[in-house]
Amino acid sequence: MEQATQISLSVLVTKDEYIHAQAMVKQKLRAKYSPAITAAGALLAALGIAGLFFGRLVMLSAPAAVCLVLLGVFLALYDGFIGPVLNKAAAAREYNEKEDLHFATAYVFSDDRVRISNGRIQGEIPISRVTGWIETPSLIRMSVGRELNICVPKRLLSQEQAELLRGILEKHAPAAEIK
Amino acid sequence: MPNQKPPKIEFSVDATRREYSTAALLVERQSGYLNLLPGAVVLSAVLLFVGLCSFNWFRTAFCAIYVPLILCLCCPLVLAIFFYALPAAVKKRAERDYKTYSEIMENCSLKFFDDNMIAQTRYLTLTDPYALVGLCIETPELFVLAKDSERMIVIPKRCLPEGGREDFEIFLRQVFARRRKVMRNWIF
Repeated sequence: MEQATQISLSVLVTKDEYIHAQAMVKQKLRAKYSPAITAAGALLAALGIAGLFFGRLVMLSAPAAVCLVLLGVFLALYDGFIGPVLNKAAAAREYNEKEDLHFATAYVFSDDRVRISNGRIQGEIPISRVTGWIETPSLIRMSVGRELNICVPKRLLSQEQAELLRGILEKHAPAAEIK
Repeated sequence: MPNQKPPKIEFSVDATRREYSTAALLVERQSGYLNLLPGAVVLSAVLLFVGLCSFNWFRTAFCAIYVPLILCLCCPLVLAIFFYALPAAVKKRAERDYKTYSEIMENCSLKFFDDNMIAQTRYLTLTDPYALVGLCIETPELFVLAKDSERMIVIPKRCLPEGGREDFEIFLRQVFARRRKVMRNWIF
């Protein structure tokens, strides 16, 4: 029987959920410097286009100008298009690599700790040990260093449970939220 | 399911920050971006060669000097990325992760059975079949059991019990025969 401050779940994350969550994490981590990359790409592309028309004046050959344009376009499109594709491919590879994600894990979240149980891991971790957590449209993902990843799909949570879990994380690991 | 047989060997491990950082570099070298290190060295040599050829030193006209110059500059850039920037990033992350690793794996007791190993810590009991451990990296100081590109167990050789050290090393070498890499350091 579930108490008001306790959430008991049996979780099996689908590949799609994991991929989308990982891609979102990578995009948020990249957000700090992605404007600079996009701006640099736009600048290089502009220089390359200028070089195509006026390259003779600065001894810039046409092939070099084309390379500049291509590099600029690549960098400008990286954050919005290319990066997400690469991140999803990397996440798919990670999902295949991590056996733990392929079978169900039981989690019991109480006020300040989470109990974990599956065929490979048993134990209890204080929520304060969570080093990074993020909420995506489909799941809430927590990591404890590089040792442990806890993914809770929101489809398994009621609205109250989701708010409770969010509250637990905000209370005990506020600095670990990936914004 | 509890193991009925007694463990083949049992001991405690306590990896230092330096050992953990070294282990992180080793795992990155085998299964991360640093796995491309030999290719990066070849690429930088090719870039330098192509750049120098493009200069055509015997010609006096210096048109289109930018491309050969960029190609030549890419050589040290690629080497700097793979020998300095990436390892520095791995070490920085390892410094950060060590804090969590040392807390989670505090007083870690390792038990090795015929087909799996159990790591017992203050917080967790981790049971890993050998078949699901991706890689065993051996250096003169460490064994690193890499479950995947993220999770690893660091076994400093100094933590091995004196009496059974040689038997344990032979055991690990047999169990991970096909998945064992022997390295002198993170590069070779």
